[in-house]
Parts: sequence; C-alpha cells; structure tokens
Amino acid sequence: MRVPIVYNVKIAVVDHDKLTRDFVVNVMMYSVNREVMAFENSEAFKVYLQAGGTVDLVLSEVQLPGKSGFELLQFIKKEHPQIRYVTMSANPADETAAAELGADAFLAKPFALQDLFDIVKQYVVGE
Amino acid sequence: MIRYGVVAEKMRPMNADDLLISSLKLLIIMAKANLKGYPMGDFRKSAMAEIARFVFLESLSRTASHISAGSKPDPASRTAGLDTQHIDHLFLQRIQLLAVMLNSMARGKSRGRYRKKAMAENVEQICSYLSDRFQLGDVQILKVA
Repeated sequence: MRVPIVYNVKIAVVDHDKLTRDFVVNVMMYSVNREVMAFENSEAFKVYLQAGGTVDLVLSEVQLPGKSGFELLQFIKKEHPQIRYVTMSANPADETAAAELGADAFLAKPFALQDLFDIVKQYVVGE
Repeated sequence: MIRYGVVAEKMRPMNADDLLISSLKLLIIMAKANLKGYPMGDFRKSAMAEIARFVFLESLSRTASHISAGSKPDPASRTAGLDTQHIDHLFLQRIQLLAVMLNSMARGKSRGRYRKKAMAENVEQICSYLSDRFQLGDVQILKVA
C-alpha cells in the first residue's frame, strides 16, 4: 500500500494556454481525487497566496503573460519555500535557469501522461 | 532538480495532437479502472467528464477533416507522438464512442453488465490499434492501466 507524502494535497497549475492547463488540471484531479486550482498568470496565483491561500505543489509554465514563471519561482522560494515547484517549459534554455532558481523539477514540453503520473508519485503519493 | 519530459533536442510547445493522445491514454486508464470497480470520487468523475468531452470534440474535428480531405494523408500535419491524420475513420469513431461511454459513466449512467462489456471490448480494440501502429514506449502505459 502506498503511503502518501502529502495528505489532503493542494495542487495549483499556472499556464496561460487553456488546453494544456485544463489537461494538467484534469490529470492531477484524477490522480489525487481532489480539487486542483488553475491560474492563467502568476499575478493571480500570487494574489491567492498573499490572501492566505495555501498550496503544496505548483506546476507553472515559464512563459506567462505579465510576470514570468521564473519571477513566480523566485517569489515562492523566498516567501513559501515549503512549496514544491515544477517548472514547465518548451524552451531548452530554461532548464539551467530553473535549476539555478531552485525549482524542484523541470517538465520539458511536450510531456507525456506518464510524466505527470511520475510527478504525482514523486511529490504526492510516494512509490 | 528532477527532470521530466522529452530530451532538450525535442522540446517544443504542446499541440492539440499531443494533448489528444495523452488524453486518450488517460481515458483508457479511466475506463480500465472503472471496469475493475476502482472507487471514483466526485473529482475523478469531474476529471473524467472533462477529458471525455475534450477527446470527443478533438476526434470529431479530425473526423470532419478526414471527410473533407477524402482521408488523404497530410505529411505536413505529422507530429512526433502521433500522426492523427493517418488514423482510420473507424478508430476515430471508437474513440468517440469511448468518450461518450465514459462521459455517461461519470454522470452515474451506463452501469449495466452489457454496457460494461461493450466498453471493455471497445477499449481492447483501441489498445490493439494503438499497439499495432505506434512505438512501444507510447503504449507501455496502457499495459499498466
């Protein structure tokens, strides 16, 4: 039997591309059987956090309208270091920057369903 | 930092084909889990209905493209994971049927023995088609579903 790493996990997905965002939200929602939050841009997610909202795991695209995913990553690692942060990107050059800024994982696009399951295994439900 | 996804040389934005094949895989996993009687909470039902809706609409648009193009292959539309322009019309119909079945199950309908049998056979046909035509790595996930 699997032992959950996080009980009652809260997951947020930040991506301006609706199709990708909805897909990730649905995979996560199905995997953890909980509501998953979706945000179009980093500002909306920051507002949620600053209003006292909590989250355990974030999957965020780098290219976002307004402030980038990297700015969001910096903010989270400074203000909420307990949050696990997965950087999603279609640009290979973003990988090094993500590592330097302290991302927990890098999800290279186009990703497969199994990659999302692996993330859930790694950060939510355990092996 | 843990790395997931494709190698750096193959990185590119997600397109509708990527999302369709991944959604189809998830739909098959959902169907198999449902047939085995695994528990389904409200959030899982909601995710199932959303994925089924997406797959239905995407396969419907490809069916329309097939008909308007006379099923001629279009090399320009090829993608790394799945060439959806080259898949059979009947296969698209099976995908649509699966989406309808799962959408119905997500709404608490279609629970009878014969409906489940029909869904099991449809899933087997889809898996068989996929494993015949696509790389082994693409369909490994179907075997653990």
